Amino acid sequence: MLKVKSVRIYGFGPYIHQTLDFDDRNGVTIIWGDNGVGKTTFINALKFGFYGEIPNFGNEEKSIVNIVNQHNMDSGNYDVSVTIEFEIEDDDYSLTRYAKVKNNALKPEGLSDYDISLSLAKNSRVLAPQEAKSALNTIMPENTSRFFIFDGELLEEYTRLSENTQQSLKLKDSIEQILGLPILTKAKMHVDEYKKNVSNQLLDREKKSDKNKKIHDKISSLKEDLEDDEKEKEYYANELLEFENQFKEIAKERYKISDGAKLQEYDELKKSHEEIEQNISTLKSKIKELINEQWRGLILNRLITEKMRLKNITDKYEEDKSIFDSHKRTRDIYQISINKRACEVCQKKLNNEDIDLLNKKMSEIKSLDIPKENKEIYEKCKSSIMIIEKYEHNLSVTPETLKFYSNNLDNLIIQRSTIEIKMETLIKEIEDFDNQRNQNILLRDREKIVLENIVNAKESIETKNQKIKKHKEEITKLENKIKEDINDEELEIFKKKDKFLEDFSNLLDEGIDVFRSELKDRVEKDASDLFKKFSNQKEFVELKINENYGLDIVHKSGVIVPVKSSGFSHIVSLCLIGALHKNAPVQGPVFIDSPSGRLDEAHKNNLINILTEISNQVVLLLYHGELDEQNIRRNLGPSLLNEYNLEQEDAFDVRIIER
Amino acid sequence: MNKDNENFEKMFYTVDGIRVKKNYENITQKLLFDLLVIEEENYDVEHKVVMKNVIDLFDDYFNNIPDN
Repeated sequence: MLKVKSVRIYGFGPYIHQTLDFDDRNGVTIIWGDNGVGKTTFINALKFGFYGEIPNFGNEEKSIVNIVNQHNMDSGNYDVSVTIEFEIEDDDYSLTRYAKVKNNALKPEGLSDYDISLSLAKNSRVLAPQEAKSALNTIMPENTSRFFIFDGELLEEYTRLSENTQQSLKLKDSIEQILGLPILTKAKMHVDEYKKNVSNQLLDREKKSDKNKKIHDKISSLKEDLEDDEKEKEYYANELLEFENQFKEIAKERYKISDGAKLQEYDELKKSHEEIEQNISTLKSKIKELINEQWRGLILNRLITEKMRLKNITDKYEEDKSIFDSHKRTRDIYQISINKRACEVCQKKLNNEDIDLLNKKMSEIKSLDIPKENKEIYEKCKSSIMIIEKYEHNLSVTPETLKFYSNNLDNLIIQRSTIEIKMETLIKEIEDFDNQRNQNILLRDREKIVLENIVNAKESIETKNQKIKKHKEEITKLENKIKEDINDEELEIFKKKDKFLEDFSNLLDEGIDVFRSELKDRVEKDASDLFKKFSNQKEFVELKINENYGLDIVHKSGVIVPVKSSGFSHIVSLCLIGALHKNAPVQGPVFIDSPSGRLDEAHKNNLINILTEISNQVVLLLYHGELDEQNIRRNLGPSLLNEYNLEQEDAFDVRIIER
Repeated sequence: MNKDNENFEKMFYTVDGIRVKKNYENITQKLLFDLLVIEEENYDVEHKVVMKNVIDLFDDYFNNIPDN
């Protein structure tokens, strides 16, 4: 139960500085005040205190200035504050809402010149701003304010609950909030959010699992290939070892053969012998060729004489040709000069005499041309010279050259003889020469084969090494692709989690439906109980709650009677508020401004009778004559805790005076 | 509001009754109670803060009951 202990108002409306202390017992408090004195302002001060709500008189920016006390403004004081002391169970709270003028605003003109702040202390401990805001929202959620602090004349809004308008849906939400239903709806929302996360993880894992399976298959295949390659590599390594052992064995065997070194020496000599034989053969061929050419040397002198003669003819021709070419160039110049009638060299103009002279010279030069047959002779001579020169070289072999080749041949023959002697000597020295040599040759052939095998085995091992490296790289690459390996067990756990949360969500869904239905039944019953006490129309036996918490009146015949009367809508609304308070997780005070509305006298009396059933703390703000004072006192008895008057000193100074 | 109030009890027992009746055997009474307590105690607390508490509650539950 939230119970207000006191309200202190500073500078708000006509309240310069007023404090109202409430009795801590359960019951009704009445504040009397004529119209315009400050009843509604008192309600507005409470709303400002609890919710920071500022009454809007058509200009939101100016609203704050409109509530500042005029006397305070006149003295330059523009600050406003409302302090509400209250208790919930064993906890004491002190709430103060401030509207303070910002430092730089000498005369505030609107909201922008104010700082609105909140201070909340719980059991004398001042809460941090965010904590205070959160705590206050928990204690008195703003959208439920209509059930705690309200104007009786606005109660008719509850009759619109049967309509599916935005306002009625908002009201329905407020009702469900005061009844605590959001605890379940939020629980479901949070479970669904958690489930969504789990479902996404499950889906992700299922996808990964499927993808991973394919990668795993590929890795398995690669690992099989790798294993095969490693086996083959091992096979080749064993073979290599075997070949290397064979090589060592052959070396040992060759070593074992007596005179092995001599055999090797013999083989080397044999090789040299073969080379020398080849050189001797080549040299002999050369010498034979030289000797064959030697007889031509007898005609060499005659050929040289003939060549000289031919040379003289060709030289003479070339000299004549040179002169002729010179004459030809001169003749051409003459001809051009004659044609142009100007000297081609000096550009001098030529007269007829000059031209005649030139023509004469030209005919002289023409007579100097070389006869055509001279050129034919020249070419024949040139050809003969070339033939002579070709043979001249071969015919120039001297005995010295022949001797040089002959000496070389002798040396080679001597070398060959020396080698043959050495070979003969070795053959004699090597015991069982033929057998040993054959054996050695066989071993060398085997050694050659084994060496080839070693090279092949090494190449095969290298090839396998490269394949193994490639496979390993591919396996590592694929393994890196599997960021999170999902095993079947983990997948199963996520499936179970998902199913569990689905069950939980369904449970809460069903819980919400059932609990909402139960709440409605209880609200309907409690509202009906209040209605029976409130209404004088005995044919109306109960109230029926609809989907949106709207209440309809039920006639004793069972017929639903629409609430059309303003008075009855007022009654039904108060019954709903009373029922809501009774069923709310947190029960609070009820401050009602002008609660009687359009109620007739009889129902006004009934209202007095049910006040204490609406809430444990009821504060009525009444204008004089709204309810009969004697009836109130008589009917409420000790439940009427205190009465106060709102007394005006002037229009901007109202005092709360206890009666 | 607090979990000792009558309304909370009614709410909890309503849902718990469904849990038993509909054989939601794998959902424990304690888990349901703890969840509703979180929701009630953080009634108007920022969504992400409440959600963190709910996540912790379920994570803890699943970690301690691996079969679920």
